[in-house]
Amino acid sequence: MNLFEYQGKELFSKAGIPVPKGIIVKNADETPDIDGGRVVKAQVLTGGRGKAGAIKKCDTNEEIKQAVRDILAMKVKGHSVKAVLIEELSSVKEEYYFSIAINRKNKNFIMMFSRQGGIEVESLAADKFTTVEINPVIGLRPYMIKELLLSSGLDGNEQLKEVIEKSYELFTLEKMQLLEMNPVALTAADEIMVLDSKIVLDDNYLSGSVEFSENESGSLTPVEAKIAQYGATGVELDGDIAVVCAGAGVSMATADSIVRKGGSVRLIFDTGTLPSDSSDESKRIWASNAYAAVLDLNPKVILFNEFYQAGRLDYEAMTIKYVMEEAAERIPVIFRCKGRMAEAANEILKDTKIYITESYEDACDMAIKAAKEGITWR
Amino acid sequence: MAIIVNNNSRTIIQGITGTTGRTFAERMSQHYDTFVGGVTPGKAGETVCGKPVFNFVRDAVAALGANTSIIVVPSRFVKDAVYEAVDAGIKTIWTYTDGVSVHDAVDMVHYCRMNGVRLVGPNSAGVLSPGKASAAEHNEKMLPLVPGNIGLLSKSGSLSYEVINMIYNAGFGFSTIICIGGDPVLGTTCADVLEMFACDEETEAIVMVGELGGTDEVDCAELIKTIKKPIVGYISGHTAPPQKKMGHAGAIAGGAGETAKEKTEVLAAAGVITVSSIEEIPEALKKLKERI
Repeated sequence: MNLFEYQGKELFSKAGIPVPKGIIVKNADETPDIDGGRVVKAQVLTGGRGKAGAIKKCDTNEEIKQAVRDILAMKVKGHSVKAVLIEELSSVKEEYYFSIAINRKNKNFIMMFSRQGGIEVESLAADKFTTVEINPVIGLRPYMIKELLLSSGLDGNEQLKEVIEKSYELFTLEKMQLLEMNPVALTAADEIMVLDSKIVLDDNYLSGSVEFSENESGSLTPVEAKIAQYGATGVELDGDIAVVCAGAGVSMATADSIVRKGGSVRLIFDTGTLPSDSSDESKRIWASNAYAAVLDLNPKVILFNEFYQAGRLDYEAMTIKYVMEEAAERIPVIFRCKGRMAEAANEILKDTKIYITESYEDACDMAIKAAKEGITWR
Repeated sequence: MAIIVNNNSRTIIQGITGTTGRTFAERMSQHYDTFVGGVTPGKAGETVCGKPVFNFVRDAVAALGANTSIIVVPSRFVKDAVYEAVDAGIKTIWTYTDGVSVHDAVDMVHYCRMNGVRLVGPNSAGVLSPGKASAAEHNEKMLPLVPGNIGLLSKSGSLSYEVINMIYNAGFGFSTIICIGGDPVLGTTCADVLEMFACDEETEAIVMVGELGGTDEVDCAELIKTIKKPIVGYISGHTAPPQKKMGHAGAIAGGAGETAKEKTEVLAAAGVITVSSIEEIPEALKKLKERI
């Protein structure tokens, strides 16, 4: 789950990390009268706001109101702006970069610091960063902070050290995947102030300390978002065949096989925890809405590739029949049906126009053929 | 001897009285003498499929000589269950449960490492050595889990079923099948498994089924150059668009070199016989057999 800047700053503020005073405005008419000296920032889950003109410094009340109106009407890299943050403008002497993330390889946390912050992190050369790993067993120790700041000559800045300590506490408390401050500023008054936040929470651990509104884990198309509502994963492509499988690995592999054999893929759908094979009919009807989303894409072919060793194919067949029986008259629908209760599943679908096969390769081959020639069976 | 689980395994289930626990117990009691009991706090004295239930892992270790634990408790209890198993002296842990936070996974991995415990998962389909022992979800009645000399390493469980079937149809069996999981932080990595297969007498060839995202597979490149046994490798997700999370939390080509194509190229350069789809795996194995 990605947090908006203002949500991250609320967490910082509660943790005692200094951030500028600010207010959130979601409707231009609700902008209060404020004297100048503010910055108006679009709240969107994408970078490059500055370049897009979605961050404006304002000297007067009129300028603030105009900026709020302008920015709320903008789109930043395709993201519409639903809120702006109006903040006190800080007088900045220096800007640093700081982050904590997870090192998948070493299974440690990793801190990064650069004396050159405030610019897009990707544009900074690797040698401008200092990185220090934190073994979670011992946590953040003073020597690590010293190591992180020594080469920048900032290891004597007590306030910066405190910000790093509090950030680590917050990172572990909320079990974050990423905590990034770009920039952390040194103000004209020699105070440390965090001017921007980027936080990614773990979808498997949401503590409830942030109220979610328009947040999301990534940018999804409408059909992908609909599928996600049901606990499944859909990824849209621009080819012909919608591939539906029980499992992330097998859904990717099926798409790979289709492409290698000369076909193309419209959708990769991993059913995940979708109860399409539940013994409970009401759950199956609920789950069938996720399958119905596949039809919204108008794919040339729909391929269900199901090799069940634990779930029951007869229940799955009932769900497929419920959603696809009618569509299968017009669109080629293929059901690779192998494993537990496969015979019963065949029986359930025998009067439909759905093509059933036990073979993985036959299912892929028939899907590619059907994408070119339409329904060639019965 | 196979790897991780074998005839010397004494396997228990933590969470044996729950729905998943009972399902696993029923299947395992039919197929493996190495499955000996289970743990659910407050249920000591009960039995599941004729196997004794204990309050604590420590009791199961004392009474049954348990050395391998299967963890199927809900995700928020997984870390504690792993710690309890480690402290009780369990040496091999398979964590089936999904939805474990990455921070919890990090803690579990470090604690197991410190104590010399082999952790498989979290969110993995497990490990089994056909005919010997299973700490895996693979169903003996639905899959051709026959002994042989192929060591199968897969991240994904669902994909392993398909690959097991194809390899069996091509006339091969398995020394050990292990699914390490698709989460970002894993107890057992590809490198760990390859090292074990390299030393395992029963394993003559290795099949490695990875996926896009992360660097787990390509981190093995130097190790692979030292392994004399042939390795057939496939990385799933060639069709996946960049920056999109594909079902598994770890399956996202986030950083440089993490796409399926790039990872495949690194493996090929290290000497792996690489393929770009699973139906090519049995073909590659047949060619190897002719060569040998």
